[in-house]
Amino acid sequence: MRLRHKNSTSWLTRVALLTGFGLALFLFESFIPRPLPWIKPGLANIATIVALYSLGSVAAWIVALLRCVLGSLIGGTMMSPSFWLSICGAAASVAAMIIIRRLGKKVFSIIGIGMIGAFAHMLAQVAVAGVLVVGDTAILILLPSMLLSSLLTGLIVGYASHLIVARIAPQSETPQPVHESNRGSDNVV
Amino acid sequence: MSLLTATFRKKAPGPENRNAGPGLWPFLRHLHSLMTTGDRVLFFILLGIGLLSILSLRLLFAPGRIASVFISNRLIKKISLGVAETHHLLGVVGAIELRVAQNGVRVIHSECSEKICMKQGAISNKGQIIVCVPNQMIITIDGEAGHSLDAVTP
Repeated sequence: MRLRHKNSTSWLTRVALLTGFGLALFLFESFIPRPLPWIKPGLANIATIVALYSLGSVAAWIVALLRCVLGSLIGGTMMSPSFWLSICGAAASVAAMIIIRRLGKKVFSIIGIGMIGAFAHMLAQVAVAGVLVVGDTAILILLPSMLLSSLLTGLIVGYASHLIVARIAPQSETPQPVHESNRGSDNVV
Repeated sequence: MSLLTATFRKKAPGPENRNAGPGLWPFLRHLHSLMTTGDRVLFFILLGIGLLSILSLRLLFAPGRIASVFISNRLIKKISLGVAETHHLLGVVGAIELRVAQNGVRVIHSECSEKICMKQGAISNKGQIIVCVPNQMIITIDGEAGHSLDAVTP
C-alpha cells in the first residue's frame, strides 16, 4: 500500500496533489454555513488520512502543516489566534493518528483513525484556545458539543478516506518500474 | 495523474463495495461493515466521554448573577443579570451593544468583521463566555452561583 521510494518524483507529486486537495476542502468548508461557529466538519483531514495511508507518516505531516500555512495565507489569518488554533489542532491530530495507527494496526481501521484524528484535533484546539484566547477554564463549556460533533465528523471523514484509499491503493501497490535511463534523474527535482 | 483518474473511477475493486448504493441506509450499512471491533469500542468510549462531559458541566456551571465585560484584558463593566437593560460599550474596532433579558446577556450589535459574538446568543450560566476577537472583548458570567446545590458538606 505504501509507496516505497520517498523523495521520488512520484511521491512528491502525490504529496503536492494531496496538499492541494486538502487546501481546496479547507477553503470549501469555510463557505459552508455553520449553525455553531466553533464546529467545523474538518473535511480537510481527509487529505491527511489519505496521505498517511497511501504515502506514509512523513507525507501526512507535510500535507497537514502545509495546508494550514497555505490556508491561512489565502484566508488572511496568518499568525493570528485562529492560525495557531488550526496548526496546533492539525499537528495534534496527525501525531495522534500516526501513533494510534502504529500501536493498533490490527485493532483500528481507517474509520477509527478518522475518529481519533477529529478527537485529538478538537482537544488540542480547546487546550490552545483556553491558553491563548481566554486564559481560563471557561472554554470547557464548549467541550461536550465539540466532542460529540467531532465523533460524527470523524466517522464521516474516516469513511470518505476509506472510499478514496480503496480506489488509489491498488495502483500505489505496484510502483511503476523505473526505466534504466531515468533512474539517475528520478531524485532530481 | 493516476491518483486523480483512479479517484474518479466508478467502482472500487474488492467485495466490500457490494453494499454501497444510493440513499443513506446503504451508506450506513457499508460504514458499519467496514468498522472493526476496535472502532466500535472506540466509538462508544468517545460517546460515553461526551455524554459524561455534558453531565459534569451541568453540575459545574450553575446559573450566575453577574456578567463581567473585559476589553483588552481590563474589566470595563459589571452587569447584573437581574435588570433588563441595554448597555453601550466601545471596543477596539468599534461600538458594541449588549442587552440583558430573561435568558441572560447577549451581544445585539458589534462593529466587528465576523459577528461571531452576535451569533453566540445569550449566556446566563456561570463559566459561560462570549468572545469577540476583533474587539478584544470577553464577557464572562461569574458571581454567586444560583441555588442549584442543596447542601455542601465541609
